[in-house]
Amino acid sequence: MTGISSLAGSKPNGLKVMIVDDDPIALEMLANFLQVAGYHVELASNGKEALERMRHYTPRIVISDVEMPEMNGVELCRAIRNRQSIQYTYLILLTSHSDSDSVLLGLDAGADDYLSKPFRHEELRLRLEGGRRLLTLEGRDMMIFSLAKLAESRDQDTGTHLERIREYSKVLATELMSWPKFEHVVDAQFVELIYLTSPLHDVGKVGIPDSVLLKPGKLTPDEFEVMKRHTLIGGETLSASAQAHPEASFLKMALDIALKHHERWDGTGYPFQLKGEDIPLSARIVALADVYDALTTKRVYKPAFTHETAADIIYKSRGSHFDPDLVDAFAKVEEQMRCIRYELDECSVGIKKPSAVTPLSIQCERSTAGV
Amino acid sequence: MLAASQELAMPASFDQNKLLERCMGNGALMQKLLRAFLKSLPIEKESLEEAVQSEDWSSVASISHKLRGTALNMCAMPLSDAALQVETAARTSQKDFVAHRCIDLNQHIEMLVNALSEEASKAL
Repeated sequence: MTGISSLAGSKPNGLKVMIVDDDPIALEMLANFLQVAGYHVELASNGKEALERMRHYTPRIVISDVEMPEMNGVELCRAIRNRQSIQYTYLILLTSHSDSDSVLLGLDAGADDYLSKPFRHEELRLRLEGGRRLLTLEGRDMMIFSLAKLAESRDQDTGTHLERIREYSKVLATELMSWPKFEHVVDAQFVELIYLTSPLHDVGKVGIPDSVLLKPGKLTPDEFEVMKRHTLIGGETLSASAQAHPEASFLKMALDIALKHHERWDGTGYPFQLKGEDIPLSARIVALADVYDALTTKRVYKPAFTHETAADIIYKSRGSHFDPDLVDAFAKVEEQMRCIRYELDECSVGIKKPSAVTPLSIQCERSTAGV
Repeated sequence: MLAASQELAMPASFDQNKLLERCMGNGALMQKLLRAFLKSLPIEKESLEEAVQSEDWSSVASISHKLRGTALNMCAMPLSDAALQVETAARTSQKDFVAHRCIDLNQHIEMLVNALSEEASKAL
């Protein structure tokens, strides 16, 4: 027997799976396998019925036959992908050899994987594990961004600040990838991690009292000292997780950023007055991204500066506030930064519509979806 | 109560051990599926005959496709092969061939139904 013993190592913990097949025997057989393996199973006899059930039941994985009455498996894939959903649904098509064209149509319609009938226990187990891995990653990314959003939600006038920060950081890191000096430091994974973790830069603000965080106008020196603690609070929070999971590189980067994104190249920043390359590169990148965003955004105590004014301030801070290399990188990607600012907040005061809006996607050379 | 393997002795066209394995060793489930299979076979056979008579080749392909899938799951390989022959002929519009293949398929269905019904009545 292939199934029971080998399934012991995988722990689906009641992950919801929907099986869609017009053959009741196939449904029962699959349901039995999945239930023994620890999944929570829901059944539907065709695509239309599956969609109706999904109004009340939210499966993370759908295993569907291709050829079915009412609505077939390919149409079901397309319908699921067209839904507005806050979470990803992993789709596996069950096919027979005569369905090879349908497999292509199914993958094109959004299916993630396919499985030949009759399913083999071990193969199905492995395919489901692949699906679970992907869903876990999605869960991680969503959790990180949710945490960052939660922290940001107390701040009144930041809007889409986090979305912009991760885009700015990604653009700057991507530029550095091509520089010989950074070729062993900045790779595709670094870019992906900074996109993922940069929104956590101000997560420590959850520990700052409302009287300081929400104060309209400038802070007194004492209040500013309190505000500065957000770096240490964020650092402490993430440090515990990073120590518990040393294999999780994203936690290390998140910690570096949260703790050190207010350090300055010349050693006049906080909380540790680190200098130069003692400041982690990720934190140096987010520092510039954060300041550019603050400058070009309207706040209760200041208007939104134009891109040109913000860029001028950044150039003047080369070697003092900011890493000179990063300012040079900023100069190369200035137009992309302006694009992001415009795209993610068109209402912004003082931000001119970029001159080349039509080829924006080419100009920006970025993709928010795939990272 | 009889053991799962004694309740319905399988004809040669079934691989009983493999079927029990596919049921994760659950004999009760195997019996339940066999009964459902037995019940569905005459219905599928009748639907297939009607579709052939009315020359509805799309339905012929669809019914034989479903039958093939069920037979595969039930480890009834000869029936699955016969259903595939019908499906392929129907999909490629080989109309004369379809009728011929259907006779072969119906024979497989009848043999299975008779054999399993007989064994089931013995088990009662």
